[in-house]
Amino acid sequence: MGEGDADAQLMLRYAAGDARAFDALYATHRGALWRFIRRSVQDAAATDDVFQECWSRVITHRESYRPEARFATWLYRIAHNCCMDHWRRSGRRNKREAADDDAIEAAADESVTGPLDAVLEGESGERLAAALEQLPQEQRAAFLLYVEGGLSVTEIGQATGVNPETAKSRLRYAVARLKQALAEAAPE
Amino acid sequence: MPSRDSSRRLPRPRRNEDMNEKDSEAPFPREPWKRLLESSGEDPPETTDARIRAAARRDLVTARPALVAARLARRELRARGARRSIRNSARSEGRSWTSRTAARAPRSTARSSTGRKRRSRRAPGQSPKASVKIDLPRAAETDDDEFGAEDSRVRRGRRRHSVARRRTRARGEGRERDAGRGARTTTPASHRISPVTSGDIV
Repeated sequence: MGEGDADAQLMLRYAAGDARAFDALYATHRGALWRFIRRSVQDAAATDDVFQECWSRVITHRESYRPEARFATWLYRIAHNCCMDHWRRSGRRNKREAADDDAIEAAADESVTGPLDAVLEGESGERLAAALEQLPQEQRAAFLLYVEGGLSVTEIGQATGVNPETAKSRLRYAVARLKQALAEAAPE
Repeated sequence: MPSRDSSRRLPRPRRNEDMNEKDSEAPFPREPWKRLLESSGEDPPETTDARIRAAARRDLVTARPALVAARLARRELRARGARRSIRNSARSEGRSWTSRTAARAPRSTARSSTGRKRRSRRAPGQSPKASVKIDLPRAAETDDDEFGAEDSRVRRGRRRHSVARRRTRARGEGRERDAGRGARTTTPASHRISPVTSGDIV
């Protein structure tokens, strides 16, 4: 998997001393990673610090990188750890994801929220960002890793330290909640 | 706004109903969500970009001398290990030679001392064999010096002659001894028959 990954090859080249390989890697992932961190930490001022910390770890640990997994999995795992460190430092309390299971299960029912395209039609990024802020931290992380990082369910499980079933469950609930939030906030 | 009519509700799916789904199957399409997130137009500031790129280059530059130093240290360690193994093998060889020659230690010591002498006496360009010849102790050194090297046949003949002489002498002495012993034991001198006296009696 990792061997055929172009990003993994770039990372190996960078570890071998090729600075241009890092530029290429950075250009590929900077936008998505920035948004992932921005949405995860929900603090504009802290985003820059966490973003730099994440790339700093990539730079420092370049020689320990092994192309056994996709580069994106490794990168987003680092990013997720950086976000966790930030939450710990800031002492921010995590919303309990299982607090309102019934509401989530209701939201997961597509007949309630309608098809995805209908929900997202005419939506803006700001409203989605606001809806994301309302998600429990684990669900938000799973959603962002899936959408921004392009990680599979298994990779999300690896990055967040849970089994794939849990990762999949979080994803389902996240998207159901988002759809519900967007539907409720949609102009009449 | 989608309808929220409760009559349209289907039985709720249980939480982990679709967990046996293959992992490769996407739980939902990414692209619409991704487009929506990207539309916010948020990107890292240019200063952050520049800082990270500079850090990546700087780390490579600072890591290079350290890498070279580490490689040199590794090479030195390997060389030291090789030297040590050579020394150990030489030492063990020496030990086994000592144990082999321990049984004949006096001979080997003598040999080594004469060898040392030979080496010291050997003229430049001279073979060790030649020096052995020189060092051998010679019996008739003065004669040889005067008249040249003695022929081995002559020497052998002389030795044979001296041996024969010694034997003859020994035989003669033996006879005299035997004669003396016989006179004392068999017949006293007064009763000894002399050839001269025997005719006188008749």
